[in-house]
Amino acid sequence: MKEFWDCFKNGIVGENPVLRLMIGLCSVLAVSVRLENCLFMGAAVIFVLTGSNLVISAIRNFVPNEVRIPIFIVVISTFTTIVDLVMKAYLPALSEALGVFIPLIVVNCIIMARAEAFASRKPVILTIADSLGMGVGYTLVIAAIGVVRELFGYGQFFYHQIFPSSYQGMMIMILPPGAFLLIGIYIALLNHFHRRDNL
Amino acid sequence: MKNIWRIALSLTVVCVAAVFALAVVNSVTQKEIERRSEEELEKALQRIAPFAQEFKKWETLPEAQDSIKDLSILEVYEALQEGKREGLVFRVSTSGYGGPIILLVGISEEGKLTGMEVLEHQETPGLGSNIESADFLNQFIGKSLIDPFEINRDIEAISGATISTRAIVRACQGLASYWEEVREQ
Repeated sequence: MKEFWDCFKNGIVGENPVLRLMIGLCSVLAVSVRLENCLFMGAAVIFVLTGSNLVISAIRNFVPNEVRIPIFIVVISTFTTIVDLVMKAYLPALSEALGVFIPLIVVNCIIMARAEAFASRKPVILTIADSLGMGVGYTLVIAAIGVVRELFGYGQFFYHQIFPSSYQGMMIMILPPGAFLLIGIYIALLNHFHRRDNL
Repeated sequence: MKNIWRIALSLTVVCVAAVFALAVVNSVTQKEIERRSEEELEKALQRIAPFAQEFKKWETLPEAQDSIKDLSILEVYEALQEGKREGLVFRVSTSGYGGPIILLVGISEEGKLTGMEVLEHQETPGLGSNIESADFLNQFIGKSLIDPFEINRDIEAISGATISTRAIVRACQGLASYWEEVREQ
């Protein structure tokens, strides 16, 4: 149980995919303008990450080493396509907002990296912990970026006006550089408060 | 060499399983997706030409006589009111600052713009993306196609987005000449 918890926590703080490993940044920059987009993007990533890594971990002993990467990609793209189709059918507005970044989860480094580094070597239970941890870590960071960008970019929170309507949005927060600046600030904060001894 | 069979087999099994899973999801969602996109179009047409009850798509698009600069006509719908044609709705593509802008434009029989909507665009967020705003689009509604459509004379440009504004204005001018050619059909 302790091991399970450690694997989970590792994805949130120790090896947070966005702030520590710095992978999968493309979608973080692109969709974090609105908090709502962030949460659904996070949910999609958690689903694909957990689902595909669970399958990869379950079949790891049958997969020949030579073709493991193609097999990972087939599994990951299957889960991604499922998310894409379901969103298009039942959440069309959101599917439009997230656009190409849902199909692009296939090539999101977080998922490939965890499949290769973790799921293909470890038992299913620990893989679930790791995937959930990584997914939640990703979601927390993208949501933290989304809150600030929506607030200062549009003066809104979940589409509700917070600042007076005369507020002129900060253009930099709506454009990708705003996300870059925030990622930098968050990395600095994380390093300040959670210094790893071996750094 | 024995290994090659194991490799082929494992890849085949994974792919077959993936195909099966996707076929199931697709069969469940496909109808819903199609229904939604039809509904979406129907609603948009209704907003563009509120007077019409029915829309009929033209199967063939008449070729423009002189090529219209930077404008391609994608679809044309007849807006019917009690079976009588009261206007045309055009789905057109023009090139903006960040890529193609897809517009839906309604024109009544008298040559007046009854509605205009931006369906797709990749303009800069916060600047060019204001072409979607009602403030901007409403200036076009009710205008006649013989109007000059000149920026800062009868159309107020979006500040910081001259190219995006120009794209929309150019589309209107191009559409005016195309409409002149096809109105009798």
